[in-house]
Amino acid sequence: MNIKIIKTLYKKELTDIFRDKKTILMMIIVPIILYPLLFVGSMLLMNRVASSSTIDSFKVAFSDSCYEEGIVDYFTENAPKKEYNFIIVESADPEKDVREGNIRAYVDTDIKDGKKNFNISFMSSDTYSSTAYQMIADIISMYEKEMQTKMLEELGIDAEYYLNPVSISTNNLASNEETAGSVFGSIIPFLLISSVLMGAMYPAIDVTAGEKERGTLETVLTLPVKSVELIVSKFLATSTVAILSAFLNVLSIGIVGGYFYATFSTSLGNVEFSFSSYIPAIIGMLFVISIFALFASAVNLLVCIFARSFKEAQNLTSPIMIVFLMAGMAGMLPGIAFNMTSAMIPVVNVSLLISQLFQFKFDPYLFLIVILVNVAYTVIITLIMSRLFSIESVLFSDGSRNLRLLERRGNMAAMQMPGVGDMSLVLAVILIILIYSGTILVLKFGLYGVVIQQLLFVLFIALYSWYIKADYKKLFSIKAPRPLSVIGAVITWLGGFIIMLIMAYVIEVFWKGTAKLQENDVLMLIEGKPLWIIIAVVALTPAICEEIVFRGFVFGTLLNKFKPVTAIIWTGILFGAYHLSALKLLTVGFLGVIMAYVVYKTGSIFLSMIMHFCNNAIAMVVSVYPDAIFKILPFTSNIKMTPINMSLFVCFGIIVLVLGIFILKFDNRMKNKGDNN
Amino acid sequence: MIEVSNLIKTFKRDINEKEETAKSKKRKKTQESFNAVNDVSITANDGEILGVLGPNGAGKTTLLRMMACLTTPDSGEVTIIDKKDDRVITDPIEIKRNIGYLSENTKLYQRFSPREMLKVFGSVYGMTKEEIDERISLICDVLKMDEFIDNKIGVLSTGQTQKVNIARCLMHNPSNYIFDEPTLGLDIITSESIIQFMKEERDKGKAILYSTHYMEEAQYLCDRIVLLYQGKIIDSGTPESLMEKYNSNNLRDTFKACINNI
Repeated sequence: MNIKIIKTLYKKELTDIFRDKKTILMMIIVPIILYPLLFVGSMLLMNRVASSSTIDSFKVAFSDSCYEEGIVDYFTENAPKKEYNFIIVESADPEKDVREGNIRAYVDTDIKDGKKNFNISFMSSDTYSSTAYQMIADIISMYEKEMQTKMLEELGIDAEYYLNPVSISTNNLASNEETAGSVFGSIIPFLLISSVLMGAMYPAIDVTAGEKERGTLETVLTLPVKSVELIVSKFLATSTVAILSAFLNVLSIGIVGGYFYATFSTSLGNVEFSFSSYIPAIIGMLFVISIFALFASAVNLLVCIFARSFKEAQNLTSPIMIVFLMAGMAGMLPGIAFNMTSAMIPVVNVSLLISQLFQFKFDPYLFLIVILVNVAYTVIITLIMSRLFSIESVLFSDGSRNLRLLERRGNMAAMQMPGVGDMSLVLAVILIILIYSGTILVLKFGLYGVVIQQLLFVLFIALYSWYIKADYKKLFSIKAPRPLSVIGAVITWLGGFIIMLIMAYVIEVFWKGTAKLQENDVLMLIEGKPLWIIIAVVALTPAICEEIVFRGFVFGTLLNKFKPVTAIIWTGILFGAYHLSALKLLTVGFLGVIMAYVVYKTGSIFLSMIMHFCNNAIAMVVSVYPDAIFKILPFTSNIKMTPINMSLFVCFGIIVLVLGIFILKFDNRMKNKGDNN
Repeated sequence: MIEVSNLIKTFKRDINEKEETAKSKKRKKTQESFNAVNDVSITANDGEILGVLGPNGAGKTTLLRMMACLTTPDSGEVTIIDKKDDRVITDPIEIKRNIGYLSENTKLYQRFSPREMLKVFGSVYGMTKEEIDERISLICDVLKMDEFIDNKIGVLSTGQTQKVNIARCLMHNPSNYIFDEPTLGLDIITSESIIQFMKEERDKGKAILYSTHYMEEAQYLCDRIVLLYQGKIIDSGTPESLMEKYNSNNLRDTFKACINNI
């Protein structure tokens, strides 16, 4: 690396960036205007919210019994006049009126278990109605207290003592600075992280995709410059802008904060509060955010060097932005501990560290780790980039066409095949459905939740494929299977199944308990259900839906991009990983490979659906009738799992597997012959 | 002197095949690799303009880009022989240092003035401040750029921009030039000044490689000509010898005859 060249190029990049109006806008105007607006806006909003709920009056209706018992009088007397305001109205049909919002609540009394019972009708879905209910409940508890006092006094007991035998007094050890610091610590990291990302994004796009688009890249490459020198100078220029924008943001937040402090300190009177106590935190924060600016610049550049135009670069960076911003919220969320693990996660660590600094918690060890981790990631990414920047297909490509979603549907040609980017996106969404909605659906609908979840997968895939105008037949291998190939597929599965059983057994021996842990949830769900429902839900639905996802979309995409072997193996790995367990990664992954192979050989996804169905159905039958297998094959109960027996089983499995594959190949040959004739 | 031997460069391209059978219409998208440059060896001697001629897609640009080390060949070698210092250069970075490369793809920084840009380039070539200033004023005189040397490149006319581009190639006073269609889309006066410039540089003893599909221009400018077709050299020689060989009085007919001959 030639330092002089880097310096020259760095200066050139910086000049180029600063002569671009967009960068200046993002970097300077946004922090200067945004924060005052944000603060003023939030103040106004808070004022509005506070005033609207206090001024509003709530119409409440009471039953005749309330009037008779003097409860209405009690309400009118005791309603807190300043903040709330009840308007007592008459209602002919209270339930209808509450429902329609004519009145906010309706109070009725009766006697329940020998006690007076208040019956309050309200709508929990309506904020006003809920507030009215809360107010009524408060007054009732006051009423209750008065009754208790009266009753106890009638018995001649010291009511005050017996009703409140315990009291609470607080001693808040947090100083005003600490209390405020925890608020700052939750907001400032997020604001800073987002502003640094914004600050880094535009220069990153400008020096990479912008340079490609303007055609100056080729000119630079005629210079005697190494790709490392080129990328380092670009990286340094981007980082400079990002750091500058971070400092500007800190300054702006400081000034706006100071201004509001100055205006409010007079109204607050003599609250002890010193801004100077935050100086160490601010210095630490500036340092951390500068390091983070390096990391953010590197990530942004890494993405942008793949783009061929400004627009494409923006499309590529937006998902990264969203992920980073979500990670940047870590400082806002309670319950995320700042420890060794979280200090390793980029973005999250910076957010947490700044948050900690403002709470006057400083762990030099973790501080150092965060800095080192960020520097390490940055160096690694920069090295990768300089490597990529010497690859011609990256430098001069006319686009990777990785993510077809980014193209407008009207612009797309029909009969597309999705890219690897599409596949990643689809799998990510499926994972989210699996983890979040899956849990909720299963909790709510039990066994049928599984069906809904699986249908969601297919629905999403169908929409996605429709949007990108996919070549359905090719992508999903839609082709009617030939009778002989069905037999071949089932035999192939059987061979694979035997090998899988032994694999699972071996894993079970090495990692005890994994299998049992896994099966428990499913067993709970299927308990007491008729077998045909279990088969339909646990065997048939996944056989169709999961196959559409994995041997359809995933395998189809991979096969279009890579060699068949790579595509088959990756389909297996992804299918295994989808089951979210270390045990199944191997066994299910193995099954996934076999099924992908069958689809590849026959071109028919229906075969893998049949195989999948057999597999799940057998597993379910065995778990519903655990003894059935010994009844059908009585000798199996006596077999000991010795290494020799196991290897015999595996050999047997392999023979069956090969037989199945042979049948498939034979069938293929027959078909080809038929076609030729 | 630039010498290249056995250069091969393969690209992949998508082909859309329509396969219509009795049952269904199928559309196949397959990738096919093809040789953009197939086993080309040429030498551009000092004090000579070597013309690389060929129709669009013949592989001219790919060949010249490989010679300027902008792309790496799949196989073959690019060398520069510096007769003054008696050096043989094969390192890409060093080759770039000894070549001035101009093509329609080498665009300029719109937000810089010609002077600023030339300063950056000079500095990267390792020139001192004094050298740079001296060189800029010299180039400015030669190319008559005084008028616009401090304006932003973005506001210059096409002809002015092309002059700046040539100034860029001249900046480090290279001993070899590679010009890929330098006169494409330019008016007669501007192209004439470029052609004049090439002649002057040749007379200073520099090696100039020049590609074009303007046959007339090549006919009176080039000392030697290489005819490129589908990535291969189909013939080479002086314009006169080629015209004689194919029995025609202009290069255009010569080229046609040569292609028909294959």
